Amino acid sequence: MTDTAVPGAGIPRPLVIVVDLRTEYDTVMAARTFADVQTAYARTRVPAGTRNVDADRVLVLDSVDELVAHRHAYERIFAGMYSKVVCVAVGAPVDGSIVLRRPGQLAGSDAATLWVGDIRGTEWAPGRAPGVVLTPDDADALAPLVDVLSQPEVFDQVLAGVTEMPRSIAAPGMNVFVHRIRDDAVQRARIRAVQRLAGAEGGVDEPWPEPLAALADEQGAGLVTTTGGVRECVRPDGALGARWAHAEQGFKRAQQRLTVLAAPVALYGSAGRGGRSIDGEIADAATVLRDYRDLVRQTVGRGAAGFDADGRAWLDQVGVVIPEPPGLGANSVAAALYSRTAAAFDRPEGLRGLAERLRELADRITPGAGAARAHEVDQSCSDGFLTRYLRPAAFPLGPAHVGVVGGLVVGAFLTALWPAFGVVGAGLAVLLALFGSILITARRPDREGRAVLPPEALPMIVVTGLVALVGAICGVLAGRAWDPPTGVGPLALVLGLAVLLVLPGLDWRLRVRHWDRVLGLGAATRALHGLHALLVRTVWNDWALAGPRREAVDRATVLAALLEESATLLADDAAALERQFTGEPPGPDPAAENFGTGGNPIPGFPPAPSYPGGGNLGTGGYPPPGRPAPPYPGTEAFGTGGYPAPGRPAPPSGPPPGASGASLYDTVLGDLVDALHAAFEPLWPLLERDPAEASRRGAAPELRPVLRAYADHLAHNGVQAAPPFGRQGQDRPHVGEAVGGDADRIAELLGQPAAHSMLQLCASDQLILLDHAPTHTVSVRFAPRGVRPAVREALRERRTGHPIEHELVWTGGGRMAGVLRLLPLLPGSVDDARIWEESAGGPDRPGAGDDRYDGGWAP
Amino acid sequence: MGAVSGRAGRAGESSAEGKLGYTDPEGYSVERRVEFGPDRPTPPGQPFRIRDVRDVEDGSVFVQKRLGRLDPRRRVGAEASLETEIRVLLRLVRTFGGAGYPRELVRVAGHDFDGVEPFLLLEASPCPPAEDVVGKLLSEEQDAFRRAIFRTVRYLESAGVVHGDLTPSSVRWQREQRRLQVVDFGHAALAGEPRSSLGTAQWAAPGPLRGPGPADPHDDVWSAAQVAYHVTTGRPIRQGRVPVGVETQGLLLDLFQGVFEADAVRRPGAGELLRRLGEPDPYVAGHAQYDPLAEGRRGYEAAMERKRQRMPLPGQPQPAHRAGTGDRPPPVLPPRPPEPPGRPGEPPRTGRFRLFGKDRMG
Repeated sequence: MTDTAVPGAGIPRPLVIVVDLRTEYDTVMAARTFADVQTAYARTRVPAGTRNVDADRVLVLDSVDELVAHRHAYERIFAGMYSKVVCVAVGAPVDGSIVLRRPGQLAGSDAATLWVGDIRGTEWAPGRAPGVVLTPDDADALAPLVDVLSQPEVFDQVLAGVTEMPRSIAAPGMNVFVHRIRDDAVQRARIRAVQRLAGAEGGVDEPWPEPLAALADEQGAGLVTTTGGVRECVRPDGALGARWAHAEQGFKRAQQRLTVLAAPVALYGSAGRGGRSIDGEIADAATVLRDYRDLVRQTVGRGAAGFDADGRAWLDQVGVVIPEPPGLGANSVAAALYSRTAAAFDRPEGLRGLAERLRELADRITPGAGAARAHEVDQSCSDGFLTRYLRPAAFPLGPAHVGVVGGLVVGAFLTALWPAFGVVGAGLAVLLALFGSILITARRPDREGRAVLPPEALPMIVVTGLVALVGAICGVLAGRAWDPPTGVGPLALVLGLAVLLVLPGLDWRLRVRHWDRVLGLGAATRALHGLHALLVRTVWNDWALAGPRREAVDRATVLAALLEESATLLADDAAALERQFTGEPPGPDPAAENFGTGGNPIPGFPPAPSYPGGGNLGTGGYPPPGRPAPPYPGTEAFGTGGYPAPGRPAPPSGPPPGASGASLYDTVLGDLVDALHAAFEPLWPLLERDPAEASRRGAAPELRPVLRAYADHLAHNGVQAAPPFGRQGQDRPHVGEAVGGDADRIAELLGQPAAHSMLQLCASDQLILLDHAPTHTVSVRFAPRGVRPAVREALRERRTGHPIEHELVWTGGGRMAGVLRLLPLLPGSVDDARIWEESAGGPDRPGAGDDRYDGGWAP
Repeated sequence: MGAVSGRAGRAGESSAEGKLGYTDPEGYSVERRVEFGPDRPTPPGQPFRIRDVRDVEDGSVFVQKRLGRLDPRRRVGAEASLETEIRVLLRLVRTFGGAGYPRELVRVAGHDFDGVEPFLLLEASPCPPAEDVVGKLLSEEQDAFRRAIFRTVRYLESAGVVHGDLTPSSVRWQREQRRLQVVDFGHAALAGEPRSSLGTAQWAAPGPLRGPGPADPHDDVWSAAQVAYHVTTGRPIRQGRVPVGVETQGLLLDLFQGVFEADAVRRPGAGELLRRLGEPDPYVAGHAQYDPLAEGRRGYEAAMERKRQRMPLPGQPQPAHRAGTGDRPPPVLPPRPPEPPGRPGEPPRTGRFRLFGKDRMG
């Protein structure tokens, strides 16, 4: 049993390089060395990120007629170190019994030649006459042969077996079984995945990375802390700065004076009364605030269309300095967009939804209009708001606080309680009360320039007097009625007088505090600071950062357009697939015939019905409806699939060890995400460097080829293999998952002896050129490693035993299992004793190969 | 006039050569040797056939819009529409003149309304449709687009013309040159005159959507704003209503203030929009701001050309004879006599030169 190590960390990934000299001779000759050809091939065949590839196996397809003419290409191929070559020469014999003439390199120990006389093949078992099989003219068994030989394990076995044969040449025959996931299931999964990816679903509301978030939230000044820029943008000595300071000082002074005046003793002293009246101070500050507001409005409105010479002069006049913007480069914006978009791809978010969020981001980052800023100014400091300060409320001279009234009553009562002093006390109480209220009126802070006792104060004074009188009368009456004990009367008198003396101070304090609340100087100060903040915000976000903001807007806009275009391309792709399923009629299924089975249909397996839907037992991969299945002689009835053109075999599917596989939809969705990553990779540097060019170029030139490559990959290689642009690490459906009942079929196939009827890849009249002796035959039996457990079990049950098992080759990839029979050719059928040289008009020169080869059969 | 000799190409056929005669905007009869391109695909029911026409001699490319084969009833309406279009385009030419013709407006090269197959000949537009760049323009390009489209509407307004079908198809934008051009005046009318037909409904103002009425330049302002919004932001518009999301567009809020009023009278004019954009008005105080000396310059150039034809300088080729003009070939004059010898380095001595000290004729 032959097995090979699974490539893992540090082990090079084995790869068979396939070169078709029939079509690529010029390419090989134009390359600097053959290693360049190997490298270019490997890049398109192995998953992205693979670093180490073992590419010394070369499968060459060539025409029998051109083998010698292509000798220079073989020189190049063999010039590489340790190259092992299997050459499949296709075509009828060149000259009667001479099958082919070949360059000397192909006779070496590291080279084997397989002759395919007719790619349609002939059903035949050695020792029997070939059957009459009506093979379609366009049958092509070469592609499956190339597929089989592209498995490194099979390649090695074939090379080893054929180099043991005379002249290292053999004629292949085969019986293979193809397993792949149904095409229609894959395409339906693809349609679903595209609809998911191209839509608007799957978005998450996460904050944008910096500096986009700061730009969007007008926190541009905050970026200064990380970049060390200048924060101040308003000169203190400019018109704006001076007004701001004046207004701020004015309101501050007024507030301080109010605080001092609120002390009870301020009623009697001069504290807080120096200089202008408080209301005058407030009005003056409000006037300056109004001027400041108007100036701010003018300034922010001017910058809407940028600053010309007049604009700059204006800024200088008002004292605004536009600071140097923080070190926001295009690369930081582009990097932020990249990280957010890459995360969105991986999530995956619908492209249209992401594009819409990018456009919203662009709207938020766009510098604001001057009129909008001016509107903000008016909203934060309207004329109605300013009126409150331009004409400040008067000092309250209304009714006293209820506590003060109560105090008056109590004080007057106590003063008049002593009967011996009753009337005098009552009079004294009333006088004291009146004096207090008159004092308050006369000492009010906003009295400047007004009457000492204004008419609005009279009610307060009168009410105060009346309240005191009432209290006093009650005290007199109570004293006469009660006749307080000795000592109580004088005590009450003293208490009462004390209350009446303290009350004015308390009343004053309460009135000053009330006045403070009514004036609301805190709001004015906040409005002033708000205007300043708005100005700073405008200077920073709209002017200093206008350039970086525009650049961020441009890149976000272009990226949104690219994503929308990508969504449209994906949707068109899906629509085309849907049309295939619904619009085109299914074609005939030539694969319904059973080929390569000795002409006998497999019992229990009816012929494959015509597709769509024709997948017997889930084994078949059918080509898309509308295209007739390429008849694949040599395979089981179903599951021919579409085979790549010769020279383009399936890359190794390389399932991760122990992987249980993934759902079809998840796999295809992951592949499409990888396709987006691959398509956008060249666009990111362009978006950073020149967004205009990225916009003009669009996403189509990058995404279309990737989508086309993916379609080709699915058609030719199935979904089990990772596409060339695939990133490593994604689980894929594993070929071994759906083996099921096919294990018996595979076991039966593997158990067929070499003498069993197989499809021999030559015409029936060419069989005579083959050595039919069974002892000279080499058989290579192979199956994918993924089906090993099931197949070994089936083999054990069949008791086919060890003679078969030790011949088995477990391949690391691919989707075919079967037998490859290699028959040597009869002696004299190969002519590589001479090197045929092209000379100008001269006869062919007998070559230098005579001394290298015995010229005939070596028993 | 209107002779078209040579087989005209049909749709799908390769081009064919022939002669094309027409009347140019100045009223002169012109005949060109041209190559006719195939008819462009048109929607079913479209009464006009459109094809490219290339002048074989100088390579100029034109677009010919001609009346197809129609039944008499449809033909009358189609002829009226073509006549209106010709009239509108000629109005533009006569308003702006030759040298001062705004490059934002497609230019009529000629017409023939009286022939068997009436047609209109236009200079081909070098700009692709603006619908190709929807949502893709960068900030500066967006600014340039908005200025250009409203400047164009202002030109139309100043000429008394209402386009009536401003859409991302009829508005063309050349990204590299940032050049805008408006084409397709098939629904145009002179301001104040009854509208001939409704343009593309999605982009039309509420007035035309309601039904027939006088053509109003403010309707072009509506359509231009819709096109500008859609092309620059990539957002959809709504037929007859304020576009989606315009309230989030800070910069555009100022610009589009009042533009989407249902009543055309309440909408600002194109001049006001240019003012909001900080763009100078190309038509101030009733005068188009094109080169006022253009006519004089043309006359001067024509006089100089006639003079050169009468007195070619030695070594100059004879001027080409213009077919169909009826001009006689210019006379060949004898060579000028040699200048009198003077001291080396001195200008030729004539009394005039010595007097004024000049060394050649002014």
